[in-house]
Amino acid sequence: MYRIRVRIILALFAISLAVVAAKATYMQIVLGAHYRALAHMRRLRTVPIDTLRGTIYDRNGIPLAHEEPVFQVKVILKEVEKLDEAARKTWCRNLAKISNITPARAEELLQQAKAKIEEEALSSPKEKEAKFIRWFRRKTPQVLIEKVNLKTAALIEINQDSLPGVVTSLKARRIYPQGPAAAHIIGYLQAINPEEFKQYKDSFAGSEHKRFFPQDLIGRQGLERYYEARLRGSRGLKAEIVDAQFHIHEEYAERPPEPGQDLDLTLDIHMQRAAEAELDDLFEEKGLPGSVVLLDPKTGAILAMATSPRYNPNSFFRDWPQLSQDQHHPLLNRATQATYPLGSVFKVVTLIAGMESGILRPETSFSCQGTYHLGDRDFHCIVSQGHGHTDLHMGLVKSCNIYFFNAGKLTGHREILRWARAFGLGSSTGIDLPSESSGLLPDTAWMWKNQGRGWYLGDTFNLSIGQGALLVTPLQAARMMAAIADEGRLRQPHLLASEDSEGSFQDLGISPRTLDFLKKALDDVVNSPSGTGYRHIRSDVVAIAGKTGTAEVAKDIEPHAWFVGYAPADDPEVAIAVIVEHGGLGGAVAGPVAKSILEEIFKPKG
Amino acid sequence: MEKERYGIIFSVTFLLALGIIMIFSTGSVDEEGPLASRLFLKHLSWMALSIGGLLAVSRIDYHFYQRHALKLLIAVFILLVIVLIPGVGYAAHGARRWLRAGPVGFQPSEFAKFALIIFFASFLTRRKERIKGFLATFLPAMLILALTAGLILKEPDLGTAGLICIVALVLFFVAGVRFSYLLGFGALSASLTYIILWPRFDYWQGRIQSFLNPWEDPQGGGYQIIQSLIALGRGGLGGVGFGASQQKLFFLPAARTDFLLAILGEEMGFLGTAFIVLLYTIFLYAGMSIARKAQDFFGFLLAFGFTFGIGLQAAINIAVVTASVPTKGLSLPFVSFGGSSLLFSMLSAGILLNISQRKAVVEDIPKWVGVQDVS
Repeated sequence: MYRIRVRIILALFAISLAVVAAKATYMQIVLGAHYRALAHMRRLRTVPIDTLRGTIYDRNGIPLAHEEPVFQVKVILKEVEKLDEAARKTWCRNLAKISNITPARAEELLQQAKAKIEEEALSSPKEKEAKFIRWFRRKTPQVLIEKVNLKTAALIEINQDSLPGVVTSLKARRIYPQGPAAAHIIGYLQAINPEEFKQYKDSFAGSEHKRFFPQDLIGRQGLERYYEARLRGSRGLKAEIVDAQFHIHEEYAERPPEPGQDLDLTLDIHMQRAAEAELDDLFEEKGLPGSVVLLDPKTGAILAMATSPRYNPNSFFRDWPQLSQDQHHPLLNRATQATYPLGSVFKVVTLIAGMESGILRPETSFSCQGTYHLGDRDFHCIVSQGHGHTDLHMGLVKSCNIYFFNAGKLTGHREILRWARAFGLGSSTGIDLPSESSGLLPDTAWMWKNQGRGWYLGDTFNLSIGQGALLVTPLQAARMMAAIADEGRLRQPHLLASEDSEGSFQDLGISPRTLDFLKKALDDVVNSPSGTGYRHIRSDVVAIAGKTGTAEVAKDIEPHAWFVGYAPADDPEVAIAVIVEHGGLGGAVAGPVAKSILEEIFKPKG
Repeated sequence: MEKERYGIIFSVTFLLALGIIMIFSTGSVDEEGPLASRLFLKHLSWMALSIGGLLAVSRIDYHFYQRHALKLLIAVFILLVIVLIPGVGYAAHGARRWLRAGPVGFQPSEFAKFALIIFFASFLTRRKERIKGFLATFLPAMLILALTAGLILKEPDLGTAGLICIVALVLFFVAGVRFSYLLGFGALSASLTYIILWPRFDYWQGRIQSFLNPWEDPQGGGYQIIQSLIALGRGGLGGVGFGASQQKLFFLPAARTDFLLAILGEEMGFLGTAFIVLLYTIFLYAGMSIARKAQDFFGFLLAFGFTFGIGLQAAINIAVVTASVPTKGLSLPFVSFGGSSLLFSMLSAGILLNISQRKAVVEDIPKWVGVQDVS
């Protein structure tokens, strides 16, 4: 009987063992491949490798924006939490001593790091996820101090024993070594906002490797924004075999990171600084904002583009509350984003329109009595007693309004507008900067639409002397003058050196006769004693040519002061536009600024 | 019984060796490195102690235990009670199973498993003449069993409690206790378990549910089973190679104890798993053969109980690892990390060896064996 019972048990046991063994066989042999694939998915973690943003250089290779390594202090909270009260106090004291803060501050930073994790955990809808975040963040280094110097970082590394859980890490930070110089051109970076993130989270500029992460910085203004796609590097990717607690066991690079492209600019930081210094003086002494544009007429390259007041991109976010309240709008790049009436500088266009249409000749003369009566309105000249009998040359040199009223009336506004359009006035230049203003060139259609009336002769008068609804940017003015300086070739203004091309221009088809005549007149504006620029602009260092402008804004408000010209007069190398907002007379206020800048540029070397 | 003795020694030696290899391998992910791994060193120390224990026990006449069976039982009760006292018993993973003295942990339930087999073997031998009696044999045996199992369930350690019950019942069965009693008891306890314990043991319920459908919650209840299957699956026929397990990188909880076989299956493949199964089969065969040829009824019951207990535990462990039964918390005898488990498995094997050394004298041939079986 016992034998039977023993056998029954053994038989049952053998059968179950056989079943289990069969199951093991099935698992390992038949389902093996399936589980291998499953396992691989779980183990392999791909981790992005950060890359570097491109450097921005001026035309002489001086860096204007680059990445700088900064050391961060991070903490593994789990390690700190292991300490008892006394040890933790010592920990805070040690950290404080090394990083030059108070122990209380160290404790505060620690609490902040904790609070940040909790905040992140609470933001996740699922309890399980929140739990994971708490667990994961507590055992991985979290930022404790944003920036420390090399010495502090080294001290922390040396004193690992007395600072459990503290690690240092290296991070790239954007630096603008020139400070506020060319700030508006270079721009600045800011953390990407949620809308942008939504748009760029999968790819940016056609590349998934350039896609944005939630904390990434994006160019906000200037070239940083315009060339974001070039400056932004491609993140690399490394694969890691990790265990269930995210310890790394194997690591190999799948794709190395690609740094962003560098930008070589046409900008000359010395010219930029010279221009800015002049504007800064004016702003500091008289509170007058202004802008200067320097162009190479032979290429369209921007040599300098200054605006005042300015900001410092290195401390932009600290200064932000003040900057945003400033009535002078320091964030505005006046050279491309502000528009002004061009004033008498526009007479150059009226002259070309008249001469090219055959209506004005050098000997065409009008009599100026100081006032032109049109219906019930009086249009005044700049000299109240009038210029008397004036020919075309003197009309421009002395900037006689009455002459150009007559000239405009004869030529007709359509012809003047055609030339203004050809020079690109009232439309954006397409320079490689974001948010360029187009300005305004009013025509009949515009009048109907905005004034509810047709084009009157008075509008032609206003247009002929650059008043009325006409609005241009300083860049447009500079480009116009550069085209005149370079035999009527209109070029694309640009900041990127690779865009330089002498062969690429649009020939406006101005006859050499007109150009020669005009250039002589522009020369005399500055260099003949009767010219409006003679007193304040004529220079012994370099022969400057150009046109002054005093753009009326409204009654009882000081007009904008313009000088737009080029130098040297016989073989122009630089075209310049200067505007001083509400500065008064162009020759007296804008002129000296242009003169100082050009003298600084052309002064004999050595 | 030379062959049987060699069978036991051979299988136990190889199982121990595989255990050392696998714990070395799983220890390699520790910060200290595989050789210095605390668990590995601990395992080696326990193994040295266990081998010493085996050698000692194999030299003690097993009738010694028959005389001291009651003392053993009392010791079991005392230990099982004090482990439940908070502050004395040491809890981990929600179960109060350990007594600790410095770095040394001790599981009273492992001792209970070992001691109860001795006690019941002795008890049944003593009651041999009244084996079919209800009041004389069945009831006291059942009370002792229920009390022990109840205390172990309280820890809770469902796996060990269940294992002890099955081994005890099978022991009663082969000793000749009336089958209808056992059946009745089985039915009664099954229904009692269902009514009282099922809804209260969330922990148990969870285990069974995650066994039935591990993929329903792969990060939660089903996690361990899935990780175990992944380990076995990765291994395939030949394994991923020694030391190359990825599941041991903390993916598979209890990789060194209850699920060590999964890691072994991953690194050594089906061949490794099959070898383990073969070793247990040899152990079982040898153990059963020792039981069959044992000198007396006590020797038979003792040998059968130990062999069956170890074999059943191994089978359940393999079944758990292959997701054939719900997770139990039972280690792989001789192989898994676990001090007291290893020690008492080795002591059992030692007693088996001692039984095998005492040949049945022809005059003493017990009636239950049958004359033709004497070798």
